This record gives sequence, C-alpha cells and structure tokens, in this order.
Amino acid sequence: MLITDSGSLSMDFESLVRQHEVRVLRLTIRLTGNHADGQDAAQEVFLRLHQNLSRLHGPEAVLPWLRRVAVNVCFDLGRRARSRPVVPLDSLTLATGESDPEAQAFTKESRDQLQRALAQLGERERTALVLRELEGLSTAEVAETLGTAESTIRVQIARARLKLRELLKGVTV
Amino acid sequence: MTPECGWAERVALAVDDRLVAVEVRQHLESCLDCQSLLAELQVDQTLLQSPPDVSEDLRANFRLRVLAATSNSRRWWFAGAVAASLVVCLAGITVQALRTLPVISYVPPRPQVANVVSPPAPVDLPMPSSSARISRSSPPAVSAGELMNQLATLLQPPSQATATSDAVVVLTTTTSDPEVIIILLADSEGVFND
Repeated sequence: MLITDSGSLSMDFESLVRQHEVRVLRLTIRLTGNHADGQDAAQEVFLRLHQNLSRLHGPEAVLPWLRRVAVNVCFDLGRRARSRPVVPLDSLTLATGESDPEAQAFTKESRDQLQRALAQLGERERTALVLRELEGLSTAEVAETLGTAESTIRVQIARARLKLRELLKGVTV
Repeated sequence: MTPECGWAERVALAVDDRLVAVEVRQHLESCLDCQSLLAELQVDQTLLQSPPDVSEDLRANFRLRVLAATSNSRRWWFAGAVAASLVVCLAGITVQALRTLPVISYVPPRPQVANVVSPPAPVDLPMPSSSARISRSSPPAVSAGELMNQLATLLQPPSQATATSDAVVVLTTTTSDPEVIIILLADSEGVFND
C-alpha cells in the first residue's frame, strides 16, 4: 500500500480486498439477512471501492468508508426487495465451538431465529444494532456511520434490543 | 417477559452502558423482572456478537468474483474508448472524402424582373406642432437629382444629340445647387418650348 504525494491511496486493489473482505462479508450478510444477497452487496461495495480508490486519503479511511458504503448498499437492496427474504443461513455457523450435534442443532435454530428476528426490525434499528454488536462500534461511531445524532442511536439500539427480545422469546443459545 | 414497571427501555440502555446509572442499578436490585430482562438481553448480545462464519472457500470465490468484475469493468472502459476513437476516425475520413469530391451545383435561372425604381422610404415632415405628426406615405417623393437621372436616360445628352430636322436639342444649365437644374428644350429651328 502506497500513499502518493497528493495523499491519495495507490495500493494493490487485490490486497485491499483480502484485507477487508471478511469484515465486509460478515456485515453485509448480517444486514441483508441471507448469504446470497450478502455476497452481492459485498461485491458491490468492493466495486465502488475500485472506482473510488483514488479519492480515499490514507489507509485508515478505507474501513469506515467500506462500512458506510456497505450500509448504503444494503439499504438499497432492502428498498429494492421490499419483502425481505428470510433464508436459513445454513452456511453460517456461530463461533460457539460446539461439537455436540444436539447443541449444534440448537445453535442452528437460534441462528435462524436471530436472522428472522433481525429481518423484522426496522432498517435503521437493525443496522444500528448490527454495527454496535457485530462491528463493535461505539455509539458515536454508529451515529457517524448512519449520519444520525448519538442520542437517537442510543434509543434506537435500546428499542431494537427490546424488539429483538420479544421476537426471540423462548430462544436460548 | 417484558417488565410491567416501565423500566424496560432504561434497562435496555444499560446493556450498552458500562456505567449504569445509579437509579437503574437500584431498580435492578429490587425488580426481578428487570433482572431477568437484563440477563436475556445480554444473551441476545452474545448471539449478535457472534459473527457469521465466512469460510476460506467462500472468501476465495468471492475474491475471484470481485476481481473478475473489476477486470470486466476495465475491459468495458477500454472497449468503449477504442470504439469512440474508431467513430471519431471514421467521421474524420468521411468528412475528408466529402471535401475532395467534385461539387456539382445547380443555379436556377434568374426570373426576368423589370427594373423598377423603388420609392424612397416615407419621410416624416416636421410639423408646427410637435404633438401632431403626420406620416406621409404617398405620393412618393422624388428628389430633383433622381428626376434628372430619369430624364437623362430618356434623353440623349446634348453632346451626342444629332442635329436632324426633328431632333430636340437639349440645353441644360446647372447651377451651383445640385438640386436645381434648368432644362431648356429647343426644336431644330431653335424655338424654345416652355
């Protein structure tokens, strides 16, 4: 990765994809609610990165930029497909390290329940909660990514937690 | 179950806050429903924090997709640039070829139109009253100079006049004023007409 005189990034695109693909894929899969859409969204994110690479200043700007674009792409996808498809995420496994088949089946059920519950949340509530928990962003960072006031984000996340709890009643990990 | 106490949202906010407000902590100590809710929310938090697994195969396939797509996009840009260049070149060649071709032009015959002395534009004459202005469009005013020109075309000049018995001898006397010309017409016997 190089930084040119003008401060713009001149780096190997493939190395950028390698560096950020996992985070972007996890985020888009979680936000879109299914694997296929998640990959499509992540691909769109990297295509946009490819087109805008020269505009990014400094390597530290890449990840926040990717996150913002990922959120926007997932919003767009959600608007296009109003009825969000809820597909069991067979290919995804929670990092629980369970080896017991019964426990794995139970975890898979939890996973599906979580994904269905997330899909029923409002777009912004879901995104705020996912950015907070999956990406581990602070409330301020979530607010910056979504372009909303921090206090609004705090309330949105709290309400999203309560709604999710209602939807996940009886489900345990 | 959702607590009936009305503290649910504040308890949900407390999941994020490491520094839980004193009043929330005090409430949690006394409300079993809220304690239960907080525990459930923390379980959900664990579930949410568990990232979807992205296998190595998936990553490799995804990377191939992205790189192929960007390479395709580069290829399309290149193809577009080549096509645009070709169009410009073809247009240039066509224009050049059209310029070198012999030009065959057709000029339609001119219609025979009698020479008509067009009347001069109407003249606004100064009137005594500035408010009363009358535009005079007819009859056309002909200046003395123009009258002389017309007469000169009708009559031969004196120098070229032949002295026949019926010939009219024209004697003109010009004055210093170009607008005033005295014309004297005389017959072959020298009799002047008025």
